[in-house]
Amino acid sequence: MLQQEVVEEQASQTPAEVEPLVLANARVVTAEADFRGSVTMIGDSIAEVSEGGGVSAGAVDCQGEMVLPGLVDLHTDHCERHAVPRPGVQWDPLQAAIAHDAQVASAGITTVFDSLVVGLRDADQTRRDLLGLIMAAVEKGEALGLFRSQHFLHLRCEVTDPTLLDQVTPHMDHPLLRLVSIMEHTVGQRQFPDADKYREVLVKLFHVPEDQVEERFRRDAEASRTFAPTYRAAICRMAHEKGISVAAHDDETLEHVEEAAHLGMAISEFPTTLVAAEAARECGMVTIMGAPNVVKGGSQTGNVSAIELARAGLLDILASDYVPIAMLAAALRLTQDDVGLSLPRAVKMASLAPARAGGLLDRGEIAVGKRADLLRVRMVDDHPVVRTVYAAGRRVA
Amino acid sequence: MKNLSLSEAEADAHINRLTGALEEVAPKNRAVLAARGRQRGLAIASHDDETEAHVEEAAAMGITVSEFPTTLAAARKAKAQGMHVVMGAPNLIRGGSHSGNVSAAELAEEGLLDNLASDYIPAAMLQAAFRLTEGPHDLALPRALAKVTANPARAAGLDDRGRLAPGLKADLLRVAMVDNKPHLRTVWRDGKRVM
Repeated sequence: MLQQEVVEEQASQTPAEVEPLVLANARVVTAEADFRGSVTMIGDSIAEVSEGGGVSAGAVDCQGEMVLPGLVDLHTDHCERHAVPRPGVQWDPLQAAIAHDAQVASAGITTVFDSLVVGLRDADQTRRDLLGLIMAAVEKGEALGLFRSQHFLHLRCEVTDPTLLDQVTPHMDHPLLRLVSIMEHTVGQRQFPDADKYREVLVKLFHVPEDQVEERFRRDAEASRTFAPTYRAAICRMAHEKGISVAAHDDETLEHVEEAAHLGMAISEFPTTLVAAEAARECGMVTIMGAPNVVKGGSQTGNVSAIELARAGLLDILASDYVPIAMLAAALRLTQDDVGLSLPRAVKMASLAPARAGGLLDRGEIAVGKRADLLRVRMVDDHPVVRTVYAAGRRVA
Repeated sequence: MKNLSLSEAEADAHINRLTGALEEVAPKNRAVLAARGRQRGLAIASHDDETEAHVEEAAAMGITVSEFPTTLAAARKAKAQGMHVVMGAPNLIRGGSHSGNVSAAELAEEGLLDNLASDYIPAAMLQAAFRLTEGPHDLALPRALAKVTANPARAAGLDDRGRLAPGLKADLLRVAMVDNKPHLRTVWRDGKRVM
């Protein structure tokens, strides 16, 4: 069957609902409050939000379960994971993107920024070529309407790769690119202040031969001293010219944050210390932390805990990082007594705040006129379970 | 080594430990587990059978499923013993086993493949079934689909599902074809829409 026919068939068979669709008798969570009420969708947007527990004819009775805005995930490595499901195994990029999409949608993420590394340093050419293939696959999935959630791209640029600019420049005009982050993985700073920890990660996770680690350390340190600052500035300039937000990654010190703010970066992604998070706030940047860090009660690599930042009022945005289902669980975790956020404030960190930071002003909250991205969520033993997902007014999971 | 994140030395130690276990505890565990499984009426599978002897031993214990046999000889023997032969769907899609053993496609060619399991890629199941309708396999769609529906249901003793037939569970998929590949659009379980 021709692709064109598929698109037309989809358009004719599954139009967005033109009849109003009402989720009633729910605990509705808006950006400011939560209350017993109902949300009405017409077409792809929210037409009405009202209080009261009544269930009109034809409405869905949510039986007091929560109705939340669809989540917006600015950082997930999950698409890459599906493209390389086991070391040495590459999967068809479009099939990988579709599988990834189903998983994020069922986790309540209705907008996802697929995060892809540019500048893989020692990786082989096949692995490097995968970047362009995944980008093309995500674009195709969007164009053919194959996804449940809406996908954008987040390019994670590693400034210690000498070929970075050549690799990233051709992609800067990609229509789905909405976020760029700048990473610098070198020993003794940022994510890896501890050399032994970094050595372990390189050997065990990235399969760098043990006898090559020292050489890798030396090369990265040299890159850091020589071309990395130039690359950092060049990428910021390119992104800003195109109106794309830039995030700093793994900021550790006041200097890191000041440099990022000076270059116009608006987002601090995964700061590794309280000092860096405080500095980011001072500089007017928003701070993103990984949801798995919240759920697990600490950073996998031993850096500052997201819960600690939330307690200090320094956490703005949650990202799924590498576990899609952690997003909603992390938001709800922040409403427990030791952090004590209100439900609307906690949910906002996984919806409205990331939507704004990603430049998407049409979504992220339950309000009239916004995109009808909605979740029906039941609490089971204090854990949120996503029951139904609507994206742009259409049921997708 | 890569999957378990072990260094070379650690991998060698791990292999030595496992070899020791094979000689001492494995036969005992195998017999006890098979006996308990039979008592409870569970379906039991033998994993990674390599030789005819592995399969014969399994069959003698009442094991009815041969999961991921690693050689053609083991698969033939399993089939001859009336066991269900299960292979990984990723193996079929990738055109071979990622650890270098017999390919699912080879077994399909000889008519030895009964069931496909997702192994480590859930989306691979449906893809693999449709792949079997293409050359060189050229199976009829119902026969290919049975390998991911009716056959595994039967192997696991679930007689209430796996086919479109009145009275069976309403577990249904709506699938579009995109670029000649199946694209899952909607899923019903027990008659209830879940995706």
